[in-house]
Amino acid sequence: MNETMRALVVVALTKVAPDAEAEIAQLSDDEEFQNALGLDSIDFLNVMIELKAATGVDVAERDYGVVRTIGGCVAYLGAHGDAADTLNEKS
Amino acid sequence: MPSLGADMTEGTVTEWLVQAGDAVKKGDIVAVVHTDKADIEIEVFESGTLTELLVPVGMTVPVGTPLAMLRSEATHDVQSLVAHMSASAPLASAAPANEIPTVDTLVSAPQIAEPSDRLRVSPRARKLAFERGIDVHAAAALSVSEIITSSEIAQISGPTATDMTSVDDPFARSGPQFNSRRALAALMARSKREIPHYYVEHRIELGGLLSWLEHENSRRPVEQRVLMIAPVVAAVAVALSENPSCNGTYRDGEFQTSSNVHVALAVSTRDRGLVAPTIRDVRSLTVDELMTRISDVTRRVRSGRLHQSELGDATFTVTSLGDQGVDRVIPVIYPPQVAILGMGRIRREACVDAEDTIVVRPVMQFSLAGDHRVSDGMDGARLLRRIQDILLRPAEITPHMKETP
Repeated sequence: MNETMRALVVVALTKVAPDAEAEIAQLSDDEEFQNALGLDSIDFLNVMIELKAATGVDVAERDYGVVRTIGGCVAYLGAHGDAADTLNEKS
Repeated sequence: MPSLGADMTEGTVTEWLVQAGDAVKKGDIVAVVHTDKADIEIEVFESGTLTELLVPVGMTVPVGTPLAMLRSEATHDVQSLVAHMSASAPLASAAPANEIPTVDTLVSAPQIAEPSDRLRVSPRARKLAFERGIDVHAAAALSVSEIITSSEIAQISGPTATDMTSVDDPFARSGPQFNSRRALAALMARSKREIPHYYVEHRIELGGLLSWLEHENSRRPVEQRVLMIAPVVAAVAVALSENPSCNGTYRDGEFQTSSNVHVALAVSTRDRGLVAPTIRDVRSLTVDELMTRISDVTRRVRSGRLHQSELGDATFTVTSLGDQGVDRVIPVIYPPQVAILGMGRIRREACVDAEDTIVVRPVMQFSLAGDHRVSDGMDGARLLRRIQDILLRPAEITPHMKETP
């Protein structure tokens, strides 16, 4: 697990749902966060927008199925674009 | 203290962004008020000079309490001030126009009429005001008569205050979640007690709309993608403007239809319960603009910071629990509104097409609850039918859909 990338996903979730901060900290990598946090599709879209703002990776709608968990997001972001490398170089 | 939704009874001033003596312009944000639902930015409705701040930072006051005194730039009568009050605020009546005061209380409360030693308050009214934490000065400003009566105090504090002071209050605990739970409990109990609900439902086929959205979204960057809720709210606004008996508010035995459609969206938060921010004048927005608003306001509901205009004054509510997997929502009307739409999840079901062939299509259950004092099942049915027609032919609400190069 890329910890930098994981932290970034956690930040994105926290920005969208600050009221669920405690639950976000408890999330496991393979837990579907939308259900676990009681988010609706608007919140989910906002998470995707935050991830793009942080990494430049635009998750296509047809790929939403694979980014429903923190682990899924990390894997997807790692595989798409070079934002991940840029971040790793910085850290 | 403005009423920011029918379930609000009090608020705490957490921030003054101006000082006494400052000139303010209509629309300026002058204060931030903390409620159980959110921190709300309070705007001023008249240009002028704030002569005095009446409620210091940290103080909690009931709805209707003047927050500050404003000397208006232009001459205006009390009536115009009253009109600026939030529509949810409990008001008696306005003073005659010939008694124009030089200094008016604003920031959503009418002016203080008399200094305290000249106030005439019945002993019973004074006692009731004390018990309910109502400022008799504020009550005087709202009073129609020379002497303030206990019934006026009762009207100002509202029926929810009685519920809140009841000894067998099951939510008699502290903390924002209990406060907002308690306020919502009072409001929903009132809805079920006073409003004769009727319900009508439609199962609406969404194949066309979904493929249109999918096509649009596939060529848009993530920030510009549109979710189903946006065209649905747009369709609701068109249908409501043609069926006004489901759009408006019911107060004191009278229904007032609204020429604008202000749609509240029910949003569940973890720490502050159900919050229903209002998207104002939905008909003036394109589906794209509507999506931006919905997305933005949902985000701010969760972070707990809303603008004054985003709470209260809604003429209709939409609630969706489809994302949580429910098939249908039988909603409870949010007083003083007179109708509410519930949306279930998108599910694939067997449908019969025009050629009598059984086909599998994505459908959603739409449930409308209407206030039978104001409209009949026929009105609700007509409204739902119109929503369906628009969603089946989304081109009607999307002529201005932004083209992405």
